[in-house]
Amino acid sequence: MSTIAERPKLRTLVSSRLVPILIIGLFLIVIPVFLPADVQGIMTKFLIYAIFAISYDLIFGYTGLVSLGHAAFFGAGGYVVAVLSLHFGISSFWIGIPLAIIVSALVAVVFGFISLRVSGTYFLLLTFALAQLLYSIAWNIPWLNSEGMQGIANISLPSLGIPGYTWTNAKYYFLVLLVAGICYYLLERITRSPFGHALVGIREGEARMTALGYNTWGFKYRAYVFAAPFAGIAGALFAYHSRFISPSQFGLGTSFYPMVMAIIGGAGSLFGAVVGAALVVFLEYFTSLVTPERWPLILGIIFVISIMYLRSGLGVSLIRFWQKVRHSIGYPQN
Amino acid sequence: MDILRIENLNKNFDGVDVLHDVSFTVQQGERLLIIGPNGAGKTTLFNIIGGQLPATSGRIFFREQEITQKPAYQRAHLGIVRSFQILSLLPNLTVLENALLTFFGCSRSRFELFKDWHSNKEVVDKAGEALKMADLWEMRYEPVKLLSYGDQRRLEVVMSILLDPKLLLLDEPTNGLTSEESTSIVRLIHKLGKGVTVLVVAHDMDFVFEVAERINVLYYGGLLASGSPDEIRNNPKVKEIYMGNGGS
Repeated sequence: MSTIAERPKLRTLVSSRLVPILIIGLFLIVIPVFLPADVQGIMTKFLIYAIFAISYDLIFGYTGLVSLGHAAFFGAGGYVVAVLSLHFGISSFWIGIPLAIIVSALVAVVFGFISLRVSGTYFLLLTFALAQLLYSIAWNIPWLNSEGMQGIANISLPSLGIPGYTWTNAKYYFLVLLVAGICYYLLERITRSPFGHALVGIREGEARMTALGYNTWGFKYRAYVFAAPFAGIAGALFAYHSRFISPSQFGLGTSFYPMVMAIIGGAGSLFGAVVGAALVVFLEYFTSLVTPERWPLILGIIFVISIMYLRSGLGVSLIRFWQKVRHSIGYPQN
Repeated sequence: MDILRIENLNKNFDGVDVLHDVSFTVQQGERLLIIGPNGAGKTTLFNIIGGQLPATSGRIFFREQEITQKPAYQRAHLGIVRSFQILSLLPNLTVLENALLTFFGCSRSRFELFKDWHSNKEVVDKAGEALKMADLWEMRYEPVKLLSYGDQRRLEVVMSILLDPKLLLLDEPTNGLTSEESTSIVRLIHKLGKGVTVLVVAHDMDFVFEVAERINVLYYGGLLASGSPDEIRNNPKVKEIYMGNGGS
């Protein structure tokens, strides 16, 4: 009797997604409190890149548009808060973030209109070229640089409008965690909506979607524009975090990051992109402790391994593994 | 009333005339079959009516409105629904996902950003109805690529019908089906009311004569003959070039 009564309890515990939520919660909310400040900084960086990666995943993994210019929005968001700080002395979080959202969305409105005229490799090249354009603008216009250097230094920390508030690494971490949680929630809602599923349909077969009545260009364009503000937010948070911004925030390396994260973690899965971001950021950190100059080599090896052996991505494999565990203790597979 | 009028349609692929000077009308509620040997331009004609290909010249009117330049998705919203000769369902998505995407296509809710798509009762019910009608309800969580050819074909045709089209374009709907499966498709077409006009491209003559009220014969890109099934059956030109010399 008692064993029968106990089994469902264990099952409910597992089935209610309590275990993964507890693990993730522990990792994101409890553990950072006990970490040294510099590791808290790494956690913050991970979350910022996670926002950047899920933003990219909406157009890459879901819609199937391979862009190599996502840094355009990340950089735009970063330069908004940097310029506000440098020229206008404005450090308010409540001005910086909304403005970063607006500016990065406007950039996407223009860039999407241009680059979505073409598809495939040409799309990739155009997005790359447009981001490079912003890179050279940031490089060449003196107004976008602190005096005597490339980039903008001493970006002020965001002010929340609370008198006497001082920042610590941990406090900034939890602010970013909150923002990342909101971004994840919004994108998750989008991917479950009719709109989000239409994007997947377009990835899988654009001609059929058109015949069914979907204006596929319009859907791709909207996806591109909707994704951009999330990257803009990430860029702004990154500028606050590093307190410095350089034109390379528009560069190819920056565009490459979310793509690698999405592929390693699992393109077409927001959770996958977050896992990818975690893997890349933490491995970069641990490598930097031991042998910083070898980081590109290690990243390359991980990239190759994940493409060869974990095609669907580490994050997606984790989800599948968890479903198998649930199944093995008597839960129906779904 | 004409529901569809085609005027002097020409299509040229790199110097090859695939269609030349094709003109015909389709009456509201009519079942018009288009037949012709391979390479006659039947599928090209369908692609132009559906908006998948632009015409080189000529004009197309749907309910007296010119649609020659309209993109395919706008034609879908006018009620022109087509099924394709080659399977065109999305192979990696599940049966249910395919059905939901189909019925969201002309629903205004397709733009909804933050609502779970399962919460749209109207579309979900319609998809469920289609899957039950196609006998695929049990398979709804399987990816479409695991279905048999016949099942995929049936699913596509059933969904096209349930989209409430004004003009239904079926390209070889019975291609590759068993005779039983073909019969079930014939039955579905007979069940449609006169509110639906049906234009079918087909090879299978049993099917053609079972469904057709009128038949257009395409031959090397031109309209060779048009008439009732009996007229076409007895047309000497058609007998000669299409059904072969030994035709009864």
